[in-house]
Order: sequence, then C-alpha cells, then structure tokens
Amino acid sequence: MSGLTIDHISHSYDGGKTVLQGVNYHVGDGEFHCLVGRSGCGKTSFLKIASGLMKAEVGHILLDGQQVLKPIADAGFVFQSPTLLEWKTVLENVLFPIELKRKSTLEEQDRAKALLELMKIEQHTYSFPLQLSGGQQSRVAIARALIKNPQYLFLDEPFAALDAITREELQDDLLALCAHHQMTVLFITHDIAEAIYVADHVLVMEEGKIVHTETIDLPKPRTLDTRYSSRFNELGFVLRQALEGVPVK
Amino acid sequence: MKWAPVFSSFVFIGLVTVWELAARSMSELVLPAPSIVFPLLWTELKTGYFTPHLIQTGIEVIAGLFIGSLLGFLLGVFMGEFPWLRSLLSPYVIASQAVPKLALAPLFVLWFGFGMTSKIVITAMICFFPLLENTMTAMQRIDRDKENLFRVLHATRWETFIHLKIPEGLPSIMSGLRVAVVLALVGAVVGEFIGANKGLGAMIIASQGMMDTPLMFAVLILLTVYGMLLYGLVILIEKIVFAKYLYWGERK
Repeated sequence: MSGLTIDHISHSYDGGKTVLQGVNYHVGDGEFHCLVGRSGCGKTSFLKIASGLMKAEVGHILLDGQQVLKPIADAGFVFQSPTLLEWKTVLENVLFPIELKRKSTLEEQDRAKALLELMKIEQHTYSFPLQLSGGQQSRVAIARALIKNPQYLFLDEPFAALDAITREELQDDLLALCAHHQMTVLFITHDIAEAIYVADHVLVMEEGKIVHTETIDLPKPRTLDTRYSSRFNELGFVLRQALEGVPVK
Repeated sequence: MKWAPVFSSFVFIGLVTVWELAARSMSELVLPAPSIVFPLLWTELKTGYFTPHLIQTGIEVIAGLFIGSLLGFLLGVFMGEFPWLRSLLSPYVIASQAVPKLALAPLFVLWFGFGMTSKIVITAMICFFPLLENTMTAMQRIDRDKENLFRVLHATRWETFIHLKIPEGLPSIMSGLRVAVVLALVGAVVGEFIGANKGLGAMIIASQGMMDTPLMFAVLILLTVYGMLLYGLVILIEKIVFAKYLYWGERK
C-alpha cells in the first residue's frame, strides 16, 4: 500500500507511562493530516515515531510497504522551536540540509532564495536568525524543511508561539507550498481552527489513542471566507466535542 | 556605558593616591610608595633586567596553558560524548581536582627538576580542569530539537560534532579558556616559588630574600599586567577567530 502506515504502535518511556496505545493509522500520498489533542496526549511521540525519528516499543511504520527503521530520507521536519543555527545566515540555514553533506550548487542556492521569496523573507537572506522575529524564524525553518523538495513533511506545532495574524499568514503560505509540491503532511497543533483550516483529515488523540478522525470537506483553496463559513464552525464544534470526550454523532 | 573607561581611570588614580598616602606613613620595607615602585619598574624594564624572567614565565604559561587546555578539551569532548566514559572517569577527575594542586608543586619539582618542565606540568594541571568541565557540560547541553534536526538530516556523529556541538558549545568552551589563562599564571609563578632561578616567581622569592620590597611590588605589577594581557589576548582571539560563533547573541 502506498503512503505512510502506522501499524499497531505502542510506546512508553523507560517502561513508565504509556504514551501510545495500539495506534493504527494511514496517511495517503499527497494528503494533509492534522493531529490535535491536549498537551501530553502523545502527539509528539506519534510524530517522532511516524517519521522514523524514534523507534516504537511495539509495532512498526511502513512507507510504501517498506518498514521504516531510521528517519525518512525524503522528509522535511519543522520542530516546535525553529532550531536555526544562530551562527549561520538565513540563506546558510536554508541550504544547510544540502551543505551538511556537500557543497550546494548554484541552482540549489537559487532555489533557496526562491523559497525565501515565497516565504516573504527575501529581504533577510543574509541576516542572522536572532535578527529576525519569531514568525520570520518559523518561515526560515519551513524553507529549510522544503529545500530538498521532500515528499513528506512533518511539523510539530511550528506556529505555537506566534501571534494570530502571523499564524494565519503562515498557514496560507504552507498550504500554497504543499499544494504546489504535492507533499504528504503530518501536522501537529493544539488549535482546532488551525487544524480545520489546513488539513484534509484531522485526528483527535487522547491518552495515547486516536479517539476520532474527521475528514475536512471544505473547498480548496482555503481563504478568509473559509474561516467564517458555517461548515467551518460545524467542524469546529464536532472536533471540540471529540476533544472533550463527548460522543460525536 | 561609553564613560566606563573614564570612570575606571578615575578609580585607578584614586587607588594609587590612597596607596601613596598610606605608604608615606610606614616604612618602605613594608609598603613602598608608587612613586618609588613605578620608576624602579620603568628603569629595570629599560635596562632589560626583567626580560629573561618575563620570557621564562611567558613560555611556561603558554606551554602549560596549551597542553593543559588541549588535554582538558579533548577529555571533555570524550566524556561529554560517551556517558560510559563519563561514569568511569568522573570520580578520578574529581579526586584529582580535590587535591590542592599547588601542594603538589614540590613533588613535581622533585620529579621533573628545577627547570621549565616542572612549571609547565603544574600550569597544565591547573589549566586542565576548567576546559574539561566546560567542554563536557557544553557537549551535554545541546538543544534536543537541534540534535533531532541533525538526526533527521542523517548526520553522522562526526558531522553533528563539527557542525552542531562545537559551534553551539564554543561560548562555554571559551569561557573555560578565559578562566584557565588566568590560572595559568598562578601555576607558573607558584612553580617558580618552589624552585627556580629564573622567572617572575623566582624574582619575588629573590626580592624577599634581599628584603627589596619595591622590587617585589614591581614584579607584582608586571604579573598583573601579564595576566591582563593574556586575558585580553583570549578575548582578541574570540573576536577575530570565533566572532560569528560567540557574538550572535549580541546581534539581537
């Protein structure tokens, strides 16, 4: 089966509290999946295991039918904090996934600049990370995750620390990029509205289990009108109920 | 803060004035006045009397600092990178530091002779620990998300070390070196106290024997200036060689 399959995953840290309990899920190629849940429900562990960054105690991850034993090579990753290398310029940070192994080509440098332009931070190409605002740093982190044109993108609450307007701008930018590159995305957030706006499918997690999945049938491309549509609010209500443990009709 | 150097100069002038006034009320043998010490220092510098001693202490400090810092850095890297080595060696490293190293100075003179070697060994031993401790801590305190980033990028251990741990740990490592450079002078001078015929420490002992307190003060001033210059040299190296790794926090 093509896509990313999470097959009966269970995990606990050092034999202590169980963070994931027999999770099964499938992420189809080119789909955008969002994971919502309260803090400590196992979202980050799920993402780390699904991306191959961490090994599950029980169960396994399959990528196009092949077992994943190390971080997926064809993937970009955006962490909760931007994790930029402060001693490198913005351009050097974006090119870093390439330059770690070899010198970047002129085409790759042009691609990095184009990504910075797409993320609307081209004026900071030669700035250092600490000269940028939090939102700008997040944009650089996303550009870095996309530099190798990955098939898969894993994002762990990348916009959690940002203000509402910047978040919405970044959500639009991310959606445009993902649509353009036909990427398969697994995105963690604790914001229901954000999940509905960006995703094709939303999973609700609670105490290490997926308790609800919802297909988001909102039209694309998503715009400001989407946020104020009645269907958006209905979906928000359904997911809110799922998060609070109320049986969803 | 642009007036800080001016105020600092006023503090210096104030201290020298207090020293001068205090010295006038007692014997030159106890506290020689700056009006005696500074001309003496200048004269002896001009005649070259201090030169061989300055060179001797300088070589001991530089060699001891280099050897001790390098060994401390290397062991710090290994102990930071390999937890089993840390568990194995930590008790011995702590024990070696718990022994007052200056108390070992006579033993080193006995083992390595009155020449330069014993002073270099003492200096190296003193410089070893700040680098070891700071490097080991730097290796352990790497941002977990950044480490994960390197794992996602399939970086080898060496690549993670070179591209993440060293640059990220450099501020801590360099602060260890700044501590070591000041301690290096202490090591060399104490070594010379125990047994040497050359060097600034030996001069202090000689001036004590001759009851030449102004000379002793002149040497003390030389040592202070020496220590400050060495410290300044480390800061200069930081600013020239490692600026982009150390001063990114100031770009905010």
